[in-house]
Amino acid sequence: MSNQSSTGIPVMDPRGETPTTGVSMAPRASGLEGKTIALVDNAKINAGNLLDKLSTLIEAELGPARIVRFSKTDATRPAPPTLIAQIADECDLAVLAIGD
Amino acid sequence: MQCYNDVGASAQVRMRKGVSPNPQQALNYFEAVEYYFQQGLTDGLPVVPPTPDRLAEFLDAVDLRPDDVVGMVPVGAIPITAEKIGLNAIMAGCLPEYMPVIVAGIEAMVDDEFSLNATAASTSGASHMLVVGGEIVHRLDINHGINMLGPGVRANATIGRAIRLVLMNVCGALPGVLDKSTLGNPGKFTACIAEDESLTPWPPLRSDFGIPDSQDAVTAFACYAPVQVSDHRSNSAEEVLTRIADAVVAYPYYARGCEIMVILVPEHLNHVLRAGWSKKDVQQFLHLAAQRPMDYWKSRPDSGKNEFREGVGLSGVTVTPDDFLIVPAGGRAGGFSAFLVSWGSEVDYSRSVTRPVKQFHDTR
Repeated sequence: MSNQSSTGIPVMDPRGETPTTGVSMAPRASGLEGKTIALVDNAKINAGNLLDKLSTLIEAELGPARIVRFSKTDATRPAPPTLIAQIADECDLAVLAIGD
Repeated sequence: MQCYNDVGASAQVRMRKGVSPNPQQALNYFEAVEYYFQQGLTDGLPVVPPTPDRLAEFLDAVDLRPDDVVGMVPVGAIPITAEKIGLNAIMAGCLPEYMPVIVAGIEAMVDDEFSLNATAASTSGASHMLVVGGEIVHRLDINHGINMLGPGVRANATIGRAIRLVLMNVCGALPGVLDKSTLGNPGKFTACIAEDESLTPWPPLRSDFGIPDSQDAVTAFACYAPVQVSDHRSNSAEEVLTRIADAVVAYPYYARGCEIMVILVPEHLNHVLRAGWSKKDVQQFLHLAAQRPMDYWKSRPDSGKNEFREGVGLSGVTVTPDDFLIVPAGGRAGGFSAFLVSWGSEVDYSRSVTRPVKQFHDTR
């Protein structure tokens, strides 16, 4: 131990590293009129209730927009790439609800 | 005092943001130990400071290069590299020869069936237990006897701790950040056990998952704290297993569709073996004895989602007898078996995953 004191112990980093790919935010929508909005249920308890309320608010207060509902089948795993692609393909905006 | 709360960044995260793992001056052993504390890189206990030479020994034990990816964390796509596993294993106090077990455990835990992120993040606070079987249990001296769920044996203590440090440091399962356990449980420090395959003529756990008896294997199981079932009066297989099944029913957190691991100790096994029962007989008996009328389950407030809301008649929390995982183990004295309930339910599920432990050259 004493000789290590003189030479020193290096510190090594045990942390995981996420490869960064430079993902940026999507452009913000200027308004909701005529837009198709995805409301995505993460399949946790009460996420659907939250989205029901949000859907009512959007329709009542934010003008005409088309709302499409999506849901994961399993709250514990990432959304399947096909579901994400479908939402991106069919909708202009997406709102994710995480219930519990 | 360092504690984690639900609001804002935890102390651990604050430290991580403010400090880079490159101290300006050389550290002696004790300074290095303190440095890992300061960086928020421990489970609250001191770690063994890793060195490049020691890391090379650990990688050599599994014939892997530093950048080899053993698995990916499903959410966040974080690669779990051999280097990171090795560093955390050293920090946990492991020996190089434990690495094949740890690598197999990681391989099991990144399987989609295991649901790594959910089990690590959930408020319900599961531990990530490894059950080791095969000749390697003897080679590494993994305890399956007296105090097998407790302290005292290096392999059990440090292999389980290495898994936890990988979860925290590599996968990001930091308390208060990704790990939102309301209470957690002591098994989140370390949880590694072994079967005592000498206790019964039954096929071992790994063979229930299609792995040959001759192959060493690890089963990863996300579960809650063990519940000990005391029975010093029963004198038959039916009596002792009914006692365990009743305790299983009384367990106060259920979702239908979980797995239940039952650690059967020698005193209880004696009744079962004397009656000539197979493991399948035990699983079938427990599965049926733990059933109750559907209305009973519906009335319980265990889960916000009531998986029992459909159907009539009898039901248990297990869907099939195979959902009882049987592990013979424990000290010879004492009528104290135990069961552990898996994380999840039929829908939001985590299944135990078994992987072979690969053979590498002898590192000693």
